[in-house]
Amino acid sequence: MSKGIKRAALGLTLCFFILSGGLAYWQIIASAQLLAKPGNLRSVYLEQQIWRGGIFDRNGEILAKSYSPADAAKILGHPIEAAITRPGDNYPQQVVLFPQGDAFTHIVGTYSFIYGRSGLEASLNQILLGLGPGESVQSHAGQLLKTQRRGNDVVLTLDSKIQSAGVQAFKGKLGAAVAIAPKTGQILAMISSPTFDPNQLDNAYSTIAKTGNQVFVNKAISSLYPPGSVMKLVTSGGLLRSGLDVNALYDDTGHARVTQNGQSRDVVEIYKNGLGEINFFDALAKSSNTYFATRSALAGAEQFLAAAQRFGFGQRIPLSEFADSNNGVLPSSITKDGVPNALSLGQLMDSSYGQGQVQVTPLHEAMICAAVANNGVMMRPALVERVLNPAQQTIYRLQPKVWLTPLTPQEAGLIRQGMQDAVVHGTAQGLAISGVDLAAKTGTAEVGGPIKTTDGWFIAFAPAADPLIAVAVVVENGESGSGAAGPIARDMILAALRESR
Amino acid sequence: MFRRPVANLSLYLYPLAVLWVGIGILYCTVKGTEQILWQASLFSAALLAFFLLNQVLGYRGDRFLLPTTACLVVIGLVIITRIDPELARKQFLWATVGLGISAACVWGIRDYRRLGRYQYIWALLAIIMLAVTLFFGVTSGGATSWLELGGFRLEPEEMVKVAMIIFLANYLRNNRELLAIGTIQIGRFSVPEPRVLGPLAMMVGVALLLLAAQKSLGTALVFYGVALFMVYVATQKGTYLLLGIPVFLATAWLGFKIFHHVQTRVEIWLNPWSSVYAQGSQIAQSLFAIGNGGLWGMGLGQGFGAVKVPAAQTDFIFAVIAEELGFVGALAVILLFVVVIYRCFVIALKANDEFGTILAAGLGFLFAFEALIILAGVTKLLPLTGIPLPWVSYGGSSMLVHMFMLGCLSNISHVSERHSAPLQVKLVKGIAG
Repeated sequence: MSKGIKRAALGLTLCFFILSGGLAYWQIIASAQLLAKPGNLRSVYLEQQIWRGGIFDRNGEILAKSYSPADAAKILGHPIEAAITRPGDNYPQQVVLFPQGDAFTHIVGTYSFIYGRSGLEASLNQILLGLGPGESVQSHAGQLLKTQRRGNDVVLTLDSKIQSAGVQAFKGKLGAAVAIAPKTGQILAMISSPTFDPNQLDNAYSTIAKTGNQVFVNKAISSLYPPGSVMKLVTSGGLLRSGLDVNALYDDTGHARVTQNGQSRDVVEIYKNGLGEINFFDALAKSSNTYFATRSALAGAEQFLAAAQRFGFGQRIPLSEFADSNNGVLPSSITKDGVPNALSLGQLMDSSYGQGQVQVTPLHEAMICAAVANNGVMMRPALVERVLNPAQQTIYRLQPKVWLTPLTPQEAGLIRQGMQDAVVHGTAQGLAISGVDLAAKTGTAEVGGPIKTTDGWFIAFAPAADPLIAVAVVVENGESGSGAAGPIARDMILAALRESR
Repeated sequence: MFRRPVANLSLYLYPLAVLWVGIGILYCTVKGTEQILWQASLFSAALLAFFLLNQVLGYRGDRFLLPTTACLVVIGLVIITRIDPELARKQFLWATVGLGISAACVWGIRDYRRLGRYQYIWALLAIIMLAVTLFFGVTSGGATSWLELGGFRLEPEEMVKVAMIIFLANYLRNNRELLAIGTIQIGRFSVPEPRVLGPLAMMVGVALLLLAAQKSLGTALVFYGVALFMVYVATQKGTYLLLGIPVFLATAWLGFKIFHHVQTRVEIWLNPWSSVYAQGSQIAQSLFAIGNGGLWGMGLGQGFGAVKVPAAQTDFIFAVIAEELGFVGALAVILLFVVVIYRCFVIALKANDEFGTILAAGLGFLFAFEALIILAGVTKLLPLTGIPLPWVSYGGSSMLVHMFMLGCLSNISHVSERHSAPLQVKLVKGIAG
């Protein structure tokens, strides 16, 4: 029997050897990577030794700041609960508070001893702690932390007035909104609804979690919605590039049938009797599905797909603070495969007015709108405007950078004209702002699933000639875009214009 | 009588040093350690008494087995003290009683071969214990593996392990030739008669079914592996091992399809870091702790895992060890296990009867599989199936049963050495007659 025992012993020793290898992997190779995982609170405890920097909006309003536990308890009106209950521990030594309450929860994030960090509190952690790239709290655990170190302050591009106006208008509705400065790509506001007060996370986690509706997800970047008619900006880009005669009239009878290569497809308008004789501007202003579907079929799928590609579909949006695949920016897509090489006739016609399998993030839709506003140039989106070291010297300042150029200035001008018409005599009529030249597009997207619902979209920029702000708002179960999402966008634009005065 | 007293004593100084250094550090840093001092003294005294008893009565068996195991026991005791001094008080008691049981096993049974006399009694006992647990047991953590008796919580599957291995050792001793050769020809293969194979298949099958019904999947896996390797060792036929793999895969697949919690386990195993706000799974917390240990560890009493990892004192105790003692400490624990298991096989090879060989090897396999399955689960090499880490994890049943097995092994070793020693020939004849 000795041979069998010896062989078995050898095999088992090998197993223990592999086990030791696995252990070495986690303890030595993957150690730093594990420390950075969300939900790993070890770094949160170690970081307590460094006085964490604050986060401010573009005007210096405090969005997040560190307080001593005693001060924090005074401000919150209840004692700070320590997550570590072992006697003799002196945690926490500082508490991050969010004076703006529930307004910035998803973008600025949360900081908790129980639930860890999220949002910018997570992605800007190294900067807020004043640690250089590659430096870790763990590697300093010994000497460096004994001296009172301070982290850097971060000034964001966000504007709390625009953000608050949007959050106020969103109360009771579900969805997301993003506002961008078209010329610089600076993100002015980013809203996800429902929201919660990050100061109450430890206290009221179960109540917050019961809210449902993806309360913990930043829908502005991590949720994909069918765009409905706001997709027609992209479709227009393709049509104009293919040489569309914008003044040619098309008879919208409320119904159209296209037959190509033996395939045949119907489009039905919401308006039963159609819009009559319309040109490109009317079609955009009044949002004719038959116009865009039939013109796209004539121009061919390549034109539409090329335009989608130019607008950044299928690509990861370069928002470096949210580049992580978990809870980061999702890429928009035309079909399940991103941007495919070809589309069937039916897919093409559905996609031309933002149905079919087309999916976008609110951030991307705001960037599309901003590109039209900015003469066809899509800027790289940005959230961090400045970083200040503890001595309040600027160690980083944002430089605007171009990401894509989806349209020529002429093409952008034509689409802008259609969007201005929409406000004057089109689908966005009710939302005109007196004295302001507004350009807008509405969208109403059908959402598949067991119960059919519709998401309302509203994208707009103003002033049309010299745009300061571009907004994209989506309201889930929002029926029509002008009804639910329009007023939110309007409030945000008003806040921006009021400030610029 | 007194063979190599200084060399032997020096082996026992290692566990004692580990225990008192550990307790000393915790005494300075963690509150509530004071109450442990008495318990630790009692345990130390018991360990030294065991050593003295062996010296006085002329223990001739394996010198390394007991001190090495004692090292594992004291590492467990120190870590449990660090996690929860209140629990540690109980565990010290179990460990001390365990030493007594072990000593009684070495010197009380006199000859391990008595254990093999009533093979079907052991089998029946195992099945009954499992069945009783299934029907009257208490469910905790998804598994129905505990019996409540007058305030004590008993885990019968631990005792079933002993019964199973003794039954198998005896059965294989009696039938190994028939199992190895096979009497029925099917094509090129010769297969043992059903009459021979029957009791084995039935016993193993029923035990596995009962364990699956209790949802003690980790223990079921240990049983299966141990039974398979014992059959392999007894018959020397690799075919049994080769056949065992597809049977295992089929069973695992079936379990995956039938049990919802198996699917959850596998899902968690594949992606333990799903949510930002939820603190992640047990396995994520375990890996966070292990990763934080690095090469040298955070230092005893300095880790977060002792508070943050669920079931830190039982299934996940290794994660706490890895965080506080580092890769170096965790590797030491693994090496101690390798040494203990290696000694089991040495005892098996030196045993001068087949029952002793198969029994010792079986116990070696048991320790190996127990350690491998929980350690691989905790380090995400395999999906997690919660079982205690032998001698280290908190738990009275496990401690007592494993101490008993340690006693059995010492007894096999002692009896074998005594028999093979030329001066003792007369004594051997006496016993044999």
